Amino acid sequence: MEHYITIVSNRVYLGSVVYTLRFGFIVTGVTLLLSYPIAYTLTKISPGRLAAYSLIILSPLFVNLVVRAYGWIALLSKYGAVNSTLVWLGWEVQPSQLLYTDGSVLVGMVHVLSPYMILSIFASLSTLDPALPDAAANLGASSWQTFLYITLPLSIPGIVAGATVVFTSSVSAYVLPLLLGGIDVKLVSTLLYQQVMILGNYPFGSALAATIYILTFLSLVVSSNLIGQARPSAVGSV
Amino acid sequence: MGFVLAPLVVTVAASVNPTPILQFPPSGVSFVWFRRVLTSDIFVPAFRASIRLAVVSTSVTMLIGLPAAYGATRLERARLKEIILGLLMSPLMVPQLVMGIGLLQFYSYLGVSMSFVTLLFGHVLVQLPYVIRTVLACLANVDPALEEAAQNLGASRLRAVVAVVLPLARPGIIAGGIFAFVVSFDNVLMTLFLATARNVTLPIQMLAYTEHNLDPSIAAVATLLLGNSCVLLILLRRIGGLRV
Repeated sequence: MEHYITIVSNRVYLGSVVYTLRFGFIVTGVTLLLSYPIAYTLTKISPGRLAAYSLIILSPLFVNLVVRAYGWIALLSKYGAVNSTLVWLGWEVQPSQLLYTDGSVLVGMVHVLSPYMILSIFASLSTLDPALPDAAANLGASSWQTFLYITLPLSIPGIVAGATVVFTSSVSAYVLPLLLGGIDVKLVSTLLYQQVMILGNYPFGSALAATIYILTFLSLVVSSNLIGQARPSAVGSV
Repeated sequence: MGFVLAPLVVTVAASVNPTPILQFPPSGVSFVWFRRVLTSDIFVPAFRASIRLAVVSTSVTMLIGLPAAYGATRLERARLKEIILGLLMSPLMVPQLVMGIGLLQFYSYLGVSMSFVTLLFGHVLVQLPYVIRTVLACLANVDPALEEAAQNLGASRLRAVVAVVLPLARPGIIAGGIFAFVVSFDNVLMTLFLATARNVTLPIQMLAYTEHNLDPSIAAVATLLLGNSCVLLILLRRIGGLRV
C-alpha cells in the first residue's frame, strides 16, 4: 500500500493524477462539442454522400498513430503549414510556438478520438424515430426547442458511449502527449513510463498503472449505469 | 473534413521536401527521402520485424478466434456463452498501457525472458476481440440449418464446418483478419513495453526517431504507410467489411 500512499500524499504524483483527470475531461468536452454537429449533419444527408463522408471520417482509424502525430507536427511546427499560412497572410511576422503546447496535444487527441465519438452519436441519432421531432414541430415547438427537448435527450446513450471511449483513452494516453507535448507532460502515463522503463521501479509503476486502471474502470461503471449496458468498445490505445 | 485530412495531406507534401527541414509548403520536389528510407538500416529491418510479427500473430489469432467464435454461436447455455465472450472481449476494456506493464510484470513473475514469443502473446491478446467481434457478426447470418443439412447428408461435423460454414462466413473472416493485421501492425503502446532490441517494430522505431529528429524521412515512411492503409481500406470496402 505504501506506493498508493506515495501517490496520494506526494504533491507531484497527486498533482499528476488531478492533471490527468482534468486532461480527460477537457479532451472529452472538446471532442463532444466538435463531434455532435458532425454526427447530426450525417443523419441529414443522402446515403451516397453519407458513404463518402463516413469513409473520410473513418479513414484516420486506419492510419498509424505515429503517422497521425507526425502530421500534426508537420502542421504546427515552426516552418509548418499553419505558421507559413499565418505569416503569408500577414497575421504574424514571426512564426510562433504552436507545437509542444497544451493546445497541440489537445488538437491531436481530438483528431484521433473524434471518429469514435462521431460514430457512437451517429448510431444513436439514426435509431431515433423521425416522427418524434416532426410531432414536436407540429405541436408548435421551434426547431431549437425540438432539438433541446427531443433530439438531444434521446441521443444521450450515444453521447455517454462515445464520451466513455474518449475519456478512458485520454486518461491512459501516452504516445500522442509524448510526441505533441514535448518533454514536460505531467500525465500519470508519462510518470509510469519513466518509473518502469527508465528507473526500473516496477512496484511503483504498477501502482501508477493501477491508478489509471481505476480511473478507466470507474468511468466504465458510471457509463454502464447511465445507459444500462456496458458495450465493450476499444479503450485506450493512444 | 479539412481537419480530418489536413495532417495526412501535409505529411505527404513534407515527404518530397529536398532539404532536411520539416517545412510546408515544400521548397521543391525530390524523392531523396524515399530513397534514404528504403535503404535505411533502421527502418527496413523494423518494417520486416513488423510484417513478421503481424503475419504470425494474425495467424495465431485466427487459429484461436475462429473456433472460439464458432463455438460461442453453438453454445446452448446463454449464461456460459455470455461469460466466455465477456472474457474473450475483455482486453478491449483495459488500457493498453496497463496491459503492457501487466504483461511485463507477469513475465518477470514467471521468470520468462522477453522474446518474440512474449511480444507475440501480447499482440494476440489485443487482436482476439476484433477477430471474434467481426466473425461473430458474420456467423450470426449463417443459417444453422445449412450445417445440419450437410450433416444429414453424411458429412462429419468438421467437414460440415469447413465446407459449409467457413465459406459462408468468408467476408467476416477476411475482414477479421485484416482488422487483426492492422491492430498488430499499428500497435504502439503495448509494443513499447514488450519489444526487445531484436524485435523493434516500425511504429516503435518511428516513435524513437520522431522524438529526436524531425527531418522528412519520417514523412516518407508515413507516406508509404498511408499507401498501405489505402490498399487495406479499399480491400475492406470490396468485401463489405466496412460499415458505419
